[in-house]
Amino acid sequence: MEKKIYESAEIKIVLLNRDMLITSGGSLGENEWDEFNFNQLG
Amino acid sequence: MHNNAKRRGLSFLLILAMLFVSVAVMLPVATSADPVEFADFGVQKLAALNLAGDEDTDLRFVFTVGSLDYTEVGFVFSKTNAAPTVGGDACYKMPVTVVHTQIVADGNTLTADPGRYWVAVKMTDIPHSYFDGALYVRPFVTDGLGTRYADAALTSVCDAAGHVHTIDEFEHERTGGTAALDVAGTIVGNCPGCNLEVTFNDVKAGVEYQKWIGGGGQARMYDRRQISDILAGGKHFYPDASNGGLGNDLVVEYSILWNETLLNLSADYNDGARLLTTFDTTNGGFSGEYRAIAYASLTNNVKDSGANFAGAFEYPSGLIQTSEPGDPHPGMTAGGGAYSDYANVGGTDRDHPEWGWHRIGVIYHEDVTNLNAVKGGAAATYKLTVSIYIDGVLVSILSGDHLDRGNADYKLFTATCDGNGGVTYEDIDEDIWVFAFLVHYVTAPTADAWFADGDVFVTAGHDFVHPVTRIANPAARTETVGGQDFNGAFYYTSAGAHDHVWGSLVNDASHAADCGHAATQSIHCTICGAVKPDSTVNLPIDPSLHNWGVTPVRIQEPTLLEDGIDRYTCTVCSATDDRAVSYEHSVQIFTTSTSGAYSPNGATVGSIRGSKHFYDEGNDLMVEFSILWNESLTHLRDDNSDNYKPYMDSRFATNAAGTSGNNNIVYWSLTGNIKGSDCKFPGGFEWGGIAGDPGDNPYPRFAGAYNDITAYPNLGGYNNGDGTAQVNDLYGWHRVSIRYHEEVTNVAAVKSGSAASYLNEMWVYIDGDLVLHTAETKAISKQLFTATGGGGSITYTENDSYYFHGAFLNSTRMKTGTGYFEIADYSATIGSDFVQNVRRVNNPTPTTLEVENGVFIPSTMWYELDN
Ligand SMILES: [Zn+2]
Ligand SMILES: [Zn+2]
Ligand SMILES: [Zn+2]
Ligand SMILES: [Zn+2]
Repeated sequence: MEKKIYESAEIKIVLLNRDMLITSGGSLGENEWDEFNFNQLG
Repeated sequence: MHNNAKRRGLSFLLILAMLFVSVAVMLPVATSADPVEFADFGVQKLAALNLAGDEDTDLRFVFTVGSLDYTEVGFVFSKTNAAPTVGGDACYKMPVTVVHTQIVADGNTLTADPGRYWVAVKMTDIPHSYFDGALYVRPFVTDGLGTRYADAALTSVCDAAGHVHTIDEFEHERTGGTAALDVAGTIVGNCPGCNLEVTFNDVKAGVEYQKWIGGGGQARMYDRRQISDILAGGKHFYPDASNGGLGNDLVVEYSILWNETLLNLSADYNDGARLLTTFDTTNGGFSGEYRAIAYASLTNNVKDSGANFAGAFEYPSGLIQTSEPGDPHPGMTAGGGAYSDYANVGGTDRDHPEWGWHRIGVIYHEDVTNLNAVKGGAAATYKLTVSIYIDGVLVSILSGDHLDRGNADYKLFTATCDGNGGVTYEDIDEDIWVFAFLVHYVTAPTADAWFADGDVFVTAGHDFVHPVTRIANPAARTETVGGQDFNGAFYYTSAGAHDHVWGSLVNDASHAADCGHAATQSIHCTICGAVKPDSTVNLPIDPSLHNWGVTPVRIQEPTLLEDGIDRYTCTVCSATDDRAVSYEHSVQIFTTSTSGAYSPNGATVGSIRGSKHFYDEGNDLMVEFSILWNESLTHLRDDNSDNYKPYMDSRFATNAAGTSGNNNIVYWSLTGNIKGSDCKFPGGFEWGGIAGDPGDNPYPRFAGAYNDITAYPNLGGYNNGDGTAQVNDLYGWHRVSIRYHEEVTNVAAVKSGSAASYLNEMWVYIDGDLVLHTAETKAISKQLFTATGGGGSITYTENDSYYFHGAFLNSTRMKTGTGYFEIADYSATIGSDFVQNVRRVNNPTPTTLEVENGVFIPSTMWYELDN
């Protein structure tokens, strides 16, 4: 568990759960894209 | 970072053909770890996308973030919500939690800027029908502060492909809309680039045309549909619930630009000058089993046709069975005599055809006349009715019981007993073609002919797509088709029902009343062009209103002394109007750095003499011009070097520029004290061009002319080079006239074989006064003619190819200041008279000429005509 704190004069945010942050997956191959179907737009 | 993002966005654009502006949004989130949360926002189509042919496709969407300190990033999409949000109406969220330093996108490898990461998703299976559908897209990032968005963007597969819809304005397969030839509106049709139905607003329907070349032929004009297209959407011609039991008619409508060139078509029926609405089993027209339902003639007196005049409609002989074919065909049931006495498109008054746009409507209607019997098992009998409209007016109704001839029977539908006391209907074969119009093979028009049409519809229904109202007296209008102008007046309006809106009084024709035309003016409806009742004003021929051409003929050139004449000719009645045109000054300006050169009207000896001969007694070379003598010329360089030649001369030369093989007959100085010259004062004349014998100074043959400055009022009147002022300070316009004579002095000897000897004699006049007379029996090297002889005869050879320049100024420039120079009214002729016979004016009225802003030089006229 890692904590990261950002500060400003007005607001103070503590991101408590580092595991929920996005991660870098390095290189994304041609066929590795996250896909979704047009029909999901409704 | 900012700069990196910019550069990154640019390269990305180049690689992926991104359509969105790459955004680098600096959100007011001081606490975010990512100062540029959104960049490189873009969409990518598949490289292999075939907009017109693919059933579906994918799109990739990307942007970059500059931090991993988000809990979620991604896109929200919507087809309808222009500002999609997570959880918003009709919105779809596509989140990712894994981002990438590098992506491979449709074969392109793209590396994110250092410290940035790609957010990359792919939308799949977008159907062809939605290639032009709206896709609102918005990147988002979420962290502990909440969710933030980049600006939403609108795209589509078409947009992503960089595709701009087009519609062929001649595309007759368009599905609808309100645009007509005469009224702008919308056009709905299929874009050939994407095969999608698209809509264009504020456009008029297009014109399609065919030009038949005079003497040529074998070209057709047609517009055709297949029954399957006409009945698209589950329509039927036969009566059923889909049409309220009324059935549908075949409704054909089109506009034609009736024009006089159609009368150039062959009148032979077999040459195809007929306009048919017809069925055919093939799309070739007349190549399968064709059956026409209406004929109109395109020209006068179609042979073997009942349509005896242009635009007349004819019962389609033999196509609807009647017992009494004849002429006129009795099968026409409405109005008797319909075919020969109605408003045909060519004009009710055949001597006054109504050239312009007309709208033809054809409605083909079918009834089963024995329905109850059919239910009982009897064969159906039919009544087929063709109603023909011109400009919204019903002009002919034709009816019969079946289409005849051959094995094809083009009923819209058939009815048979279903075996249970009911009726089974069947529509006409869906493969059959309907030609809204077909002009069959036209052969050998007597001259070029244009056929233009537009606004064509073939539908199943009961009403015209564009119902129209006739306009009896439409506004004049020109239609340009294939580069040719036609009377394009609309004899109908498709504006629909409206209260007329009256405009102002305008000319009815393209011209107002003038010397050759009476005319009318009237008030027209600004919507449909109809003429307001009782608004027409008759304007009689007005002999005073001419149409002067814009390009006059110069009858007489203007001179310094007299205005010239420009003659304008009325394009209508050929009346003429002579207008004075004054002389236009053209002053050359010399400076210390700008050399001046002047070589007007250099002409060959041959062109000067024409059919006359210089060796005939009395025919001499007559040279004359006016020069604006002024003090500024005395400041020309006075050193007679190759670079500065401050004198003028009259010379022969072997080239048009006057610079090769030249031989001068007289010099005259523009300034004083020309080094190496005998012209010691401006305006002094010196004999020139004698080969050899240059030594004497003054030349004895001058008879004192050159150095007696008081006796000879030279042009400059300045000084004689020793500081002594001349008495004649005569600045202004002077006329120089030179007569140059050549003769063989030993004709008899020449005839005996001796060499010819020549006399060259010259008279120079200034303002009509003789100032120099020289005669020399030694030939100059360029002569007007030479003579050879022997055996008692003499032969003259005229040097026609020599150029003669009577007022030649080679390169010269100012020693100081600015010089002004003008030569006017130059001529070189053959004969014994000058063109301008002038005399000196002793006390002229001083005048000046402005040559530059505020710079005036004396332009006093020192001579006048001596007539
Ligand atoms: Zn910046
Ligand atoms: Zn398109
Ligand atoms: Zn109107
Ligand atoms: Zn006139």
